Amino acid sequence: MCDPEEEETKAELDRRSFVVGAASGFGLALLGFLVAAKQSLLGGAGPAPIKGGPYNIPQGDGKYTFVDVSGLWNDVGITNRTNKKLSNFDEQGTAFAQEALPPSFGPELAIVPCPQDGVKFVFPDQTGRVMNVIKCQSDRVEIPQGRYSKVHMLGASLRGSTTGVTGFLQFDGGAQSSFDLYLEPWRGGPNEADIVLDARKIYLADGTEPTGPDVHAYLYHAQVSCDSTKVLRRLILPSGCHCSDHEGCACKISDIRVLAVTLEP
Amino acid sequence: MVKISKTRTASQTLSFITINLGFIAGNTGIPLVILSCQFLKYRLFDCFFYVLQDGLFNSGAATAPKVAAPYLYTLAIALVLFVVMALFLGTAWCAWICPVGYVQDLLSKGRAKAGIGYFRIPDRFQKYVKPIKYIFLAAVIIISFGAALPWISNTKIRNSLYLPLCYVCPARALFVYLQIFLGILPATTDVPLLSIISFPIFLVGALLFRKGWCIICPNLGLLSFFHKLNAVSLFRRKVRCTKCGTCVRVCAMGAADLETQGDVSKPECIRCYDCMDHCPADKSRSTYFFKKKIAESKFPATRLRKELLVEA
Repeated sequence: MCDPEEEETKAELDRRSFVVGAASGFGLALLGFLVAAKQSLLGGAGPAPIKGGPYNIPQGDGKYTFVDVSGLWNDVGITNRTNKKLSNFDEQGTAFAQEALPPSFGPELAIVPCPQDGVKFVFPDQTGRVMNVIKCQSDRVEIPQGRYSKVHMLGASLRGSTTGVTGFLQFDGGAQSSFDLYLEPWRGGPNEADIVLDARKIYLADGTEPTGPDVHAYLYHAQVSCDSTKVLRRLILPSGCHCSDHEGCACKISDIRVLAVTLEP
Repeated sequence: MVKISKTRTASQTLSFITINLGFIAGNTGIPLVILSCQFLKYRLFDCFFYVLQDGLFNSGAATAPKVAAPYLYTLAIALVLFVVMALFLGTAWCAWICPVGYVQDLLSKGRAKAGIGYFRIPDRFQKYVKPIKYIFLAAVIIISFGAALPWISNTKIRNSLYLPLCYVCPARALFVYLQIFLGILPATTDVPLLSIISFPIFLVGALLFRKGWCIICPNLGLLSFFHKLNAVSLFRRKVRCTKCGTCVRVCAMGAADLETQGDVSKPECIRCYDCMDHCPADKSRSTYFFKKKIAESKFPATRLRKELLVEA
């Protein structure tokens, strides 16, 4: 027996299933295309940043022990004009201009002192397209085993002053202690101190290269106290966004940049 | 036979647990079309509205196409995913998976147990209430994108307009407070003043009106564009309907009427199936996934659940 309402329902379901099925198929195909074409769509066809090295990082200078963090450098924070399109210190396409750094900073693995207290860092490689900055995301830094009283870091935050940024020190035997890392913004902040580098030229995403006495881009020295009665094995860098600009920010963008780590007995 | 309401509660409970399973499986980075809060520390999925707002703000604020490209790309992926998810389940995401919907249903049950009545939005006001979700949605999009444009030079103001929905979204306050209570987040975690103010309003609204938030939710506003274009359909057979009005009475969203026949998927309908569960007319209401019939009304109908029964 033919039920007109049933027939209508069936026809409507047929139509609907066809349209939804076709649209879903198209959507999934588009999704597949977007995923597959990511490199081309994001301008990945040009030169890509590369991992430099292998580096022969000096072990120390007698007083300080230098930590090899070259394996953790994951973006281009310092670059030259040829490769300025790779600039990405701040996720906004900006970087320190290698050409304008003081001669003592480069071009590869220069040992630079902190003007305030003489702590030394191995400044990263800035040649070609190499990565030379750690965008901190809970990275594990393996330490030459030993007893240290202080851990020094060379770095900066992206936006506001970092507060409540927690990393961890892991010791032999499984003990662990946390530390608060305090860093000022790389383009200047209210409490600038322990400035290691004050660069006067940067590369911006729009292709401009601001330079001059009014341009500042800083790298700071931050230090963390360490229990020297225990053998330090590992350093866990902070992660996530801690900027004071974004209240309760939940973005995944790391706003801490570290370039070098030095240990003091 | 298992009642639809019980199946739905089981689905909501399972979803609520699954959303919180990020600490086991890690964050998949997939934005779901529900209010799966980005402020949830161990979340398995991302929130579509967070990605939308973040993408609009950051692509608008970008100083060069190269900077905007990654945000636009993420936004494009999220939008396509949204469409695909909406095509499959439509507004059923709201009633079956969304954690905010779940909490509201729990509050309704608690209210009913306490014997407290609820309010219904009178029919004459429905036409004014229904557009609120679209106005809300438009405001979220306009503010997110507009705040990023250079005409707001004050950084403080710009940043305070970042993620406008998150200031009033009940999922944020709900999950942040829950995580503080469970010791996952420190008690000093910042909660914006607007969240502190809006969350009690949400709770009171959910107690006074069943699905009070859903009525104005911008996520439903966006999903409702697919109300006739998704695999989950709801049909009403006029010849079997006795026009008893039960469906109109139990529908918290004001989506049921006694006139429409055939495909009765309305933009407001979140597929909770309270109408079908309680419809006393055998086979009068039925739901399909693509062409497969999933369920239909049966005689005798489910007795009216307590939380649907007590009206103020």
